[in-house]
Amino acid sequence: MDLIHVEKVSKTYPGCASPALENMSLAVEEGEIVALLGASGCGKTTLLRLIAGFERPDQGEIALQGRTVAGDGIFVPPERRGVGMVFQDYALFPHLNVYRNIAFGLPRGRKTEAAVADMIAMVGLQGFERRLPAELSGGQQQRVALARALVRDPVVVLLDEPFSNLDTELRGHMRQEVRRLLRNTQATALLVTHDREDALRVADRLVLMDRDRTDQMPELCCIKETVID
Amino acid sequence: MAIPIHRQTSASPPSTRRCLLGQTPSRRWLGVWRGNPPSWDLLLAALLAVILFTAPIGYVFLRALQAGLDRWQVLLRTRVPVLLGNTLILMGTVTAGAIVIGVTCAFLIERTDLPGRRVLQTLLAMPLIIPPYVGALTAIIVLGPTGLLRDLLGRAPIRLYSFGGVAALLILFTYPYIYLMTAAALRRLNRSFEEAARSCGLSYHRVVMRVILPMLRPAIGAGAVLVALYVLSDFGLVSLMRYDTFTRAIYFQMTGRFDRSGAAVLSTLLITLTLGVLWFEVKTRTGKGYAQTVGTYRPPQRVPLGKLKLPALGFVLLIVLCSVILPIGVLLYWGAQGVARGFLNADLVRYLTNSLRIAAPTAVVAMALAVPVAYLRSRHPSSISRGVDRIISAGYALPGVIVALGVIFIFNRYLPALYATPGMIVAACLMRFLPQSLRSADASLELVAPRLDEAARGMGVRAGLVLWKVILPIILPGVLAGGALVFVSTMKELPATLLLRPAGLDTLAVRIWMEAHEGFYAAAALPALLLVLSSALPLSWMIRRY
Repeated sequence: MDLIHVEKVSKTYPGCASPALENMSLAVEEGEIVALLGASGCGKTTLLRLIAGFERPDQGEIALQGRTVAGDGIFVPPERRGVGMVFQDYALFPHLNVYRNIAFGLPRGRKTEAAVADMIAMVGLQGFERRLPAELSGGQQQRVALARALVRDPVVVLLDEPFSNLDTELRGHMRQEVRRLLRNTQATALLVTHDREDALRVADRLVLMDRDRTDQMPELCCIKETVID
Repeated sequence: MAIPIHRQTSASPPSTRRCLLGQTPSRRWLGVWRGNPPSWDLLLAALLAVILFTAPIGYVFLRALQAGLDRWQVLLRTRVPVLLGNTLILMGTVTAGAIVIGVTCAFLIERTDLPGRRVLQTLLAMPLIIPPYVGALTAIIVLGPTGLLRDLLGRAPIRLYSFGGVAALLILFTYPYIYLMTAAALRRLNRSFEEAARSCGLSYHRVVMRVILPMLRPAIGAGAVLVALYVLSDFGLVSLMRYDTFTRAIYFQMTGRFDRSGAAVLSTLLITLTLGVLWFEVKTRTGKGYAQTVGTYRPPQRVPLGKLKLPALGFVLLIVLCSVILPIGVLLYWGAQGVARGFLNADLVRYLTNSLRIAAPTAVVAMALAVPVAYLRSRHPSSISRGVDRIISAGYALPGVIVALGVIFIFNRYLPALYATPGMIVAACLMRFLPQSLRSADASLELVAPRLDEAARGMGVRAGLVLWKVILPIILPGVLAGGALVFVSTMKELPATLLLRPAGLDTLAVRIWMEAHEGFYAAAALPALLLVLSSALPLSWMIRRY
């Protein structure tokens, strides 16, 4: 059984003539890190937002862990899908400090405290708990965003262009870091990017997205050279 | 929020720069300006503005100190407790009410599928063109003890001259400050914050409570401070409604008892209250600059109102009806009555010309002072330019009666030749409204890169001339918009004009207040209509431009 199952999904935004996504299908297995690679405007962010539940598909079906969350008259709102999201601009709550950003929406209690403390240690932000997002560097902000997504043990972590706001040097470092964190937590992840380097360094498997179709690629090791060519 | 621009001054070594009187400036002077001292003409303009602002208020304080212990004691024992209670309760009630209405309307317009929100959006901001004392006039015409409804029903349906009446009217004419600020913040609020909260497992209702409202807090707070400051400074509405606050007491201390020292004592207390509100603003604002993260912007999602659609629409319509449609309708009806009774005559033209004779020079001088002061703050950051900016910005918080009192003291003593001339009113209006043109000039100056100044310097334009030859033409639209704001505010200004006008110089605002005070509502409606029109025209010009 696939963890994410997207079946022939189409989406046209209101007021747009052409569809953002048409007849798109995708399957992600548990524990995989998959990168959706494609030029901007090919619908990869739309796909991510459909899986997260921020948009409703016009047609087709989306299932998470075998449970239909969209399509067939069903629509599960984002807060009940158990999906973790890392936004392009991180979307850290500016009025909450690092600790409270990560613990946001979790029930109060010793269990949460322990989980958040563990997560802060894992992303290497000990000592920064009381800082506000504006007082953090870009790399640190991204760690907080990732920690916030991972701490609630999500079904899948969705990452939308996670490295686009970082400079080149930090980018290389954060790619390794993100891959390490996803591996350590054994999370399933779907990463959207237009940067080949991002996709190759972080993901196990690449999915090339062209307008209107998906070419599922074999294992990363096999295609590495072809892509770089 | 304006971001100070710190300029690199590597282009030419500081020691070769010339400044005051062409001498090489001292090391200390350079240190204050971070190696980038302004030219003397800029400093002179700033100095002029600072004197204009500090002298009258300083004199009010001085006179209050000289008033003598016994006068302080008498006032503190008799008048002050009542005034303080009245003013503070009114301020609290109006601010709370304006927050409830302003935030609710902003949310309904910006975040729900409320029908007709395009039109309602404009209508909700409209009360700003109706001066509160004109609003009070229309309410008295309809609901007052001798109003229209009494004629229809046999008795007045409510007691308008009461705390509830004053508070309700002030709320209706001040909520747009909070509505506009909150709506703008809601539009800027990136959708990803809400989505992040929802992916953390929060329902929409809890997202509103835990993410949207906390992030709106700075905007709501800024609007609330404007409302609170307005209530402290309002004279026209409370005096027509016969509700005793500090401003009304100061006015009658000056005009009824000719007791300027007593007025100075009460003014000192009112300034202290004003400073308290300003201090509160600074305290809650610092360290809370919620910088919006950059990134892809998505328009916010609208919530379907469902069964609440009709009640919500009814609520917004009721607000619009009470704060815009009824007042303007009453003015139109009574204006027509006034025309029929022959009030549309040479006198009315004279009132309008008098208003223009004061508003036009005020706007011109305000623009002329705003440009150098804004330039000084933006291009020559230092403790001095920041101080100048702070002093002038505080002017918007000063009640008109206090400004008038200070101006009377100063002109009486140091400028007797100009005493009882329109120049006094211009000076008072500049103190109150220069901040408006300053903010406007500031905002357009922030958009001009300092590189441009440096490029002009590089081509051999003298420092003092860069502003006039290069910068001014670029920022002119913004400066003119600021001038339009000052013009409108001066047209509507009541207390300072009332206290400072030379005999016979009746402006529209003064005339409205006097007729309404005497109960000649038909005579007041026509000038009021003219006033609303003359402030709506420059504002609609501004809105169309931006």
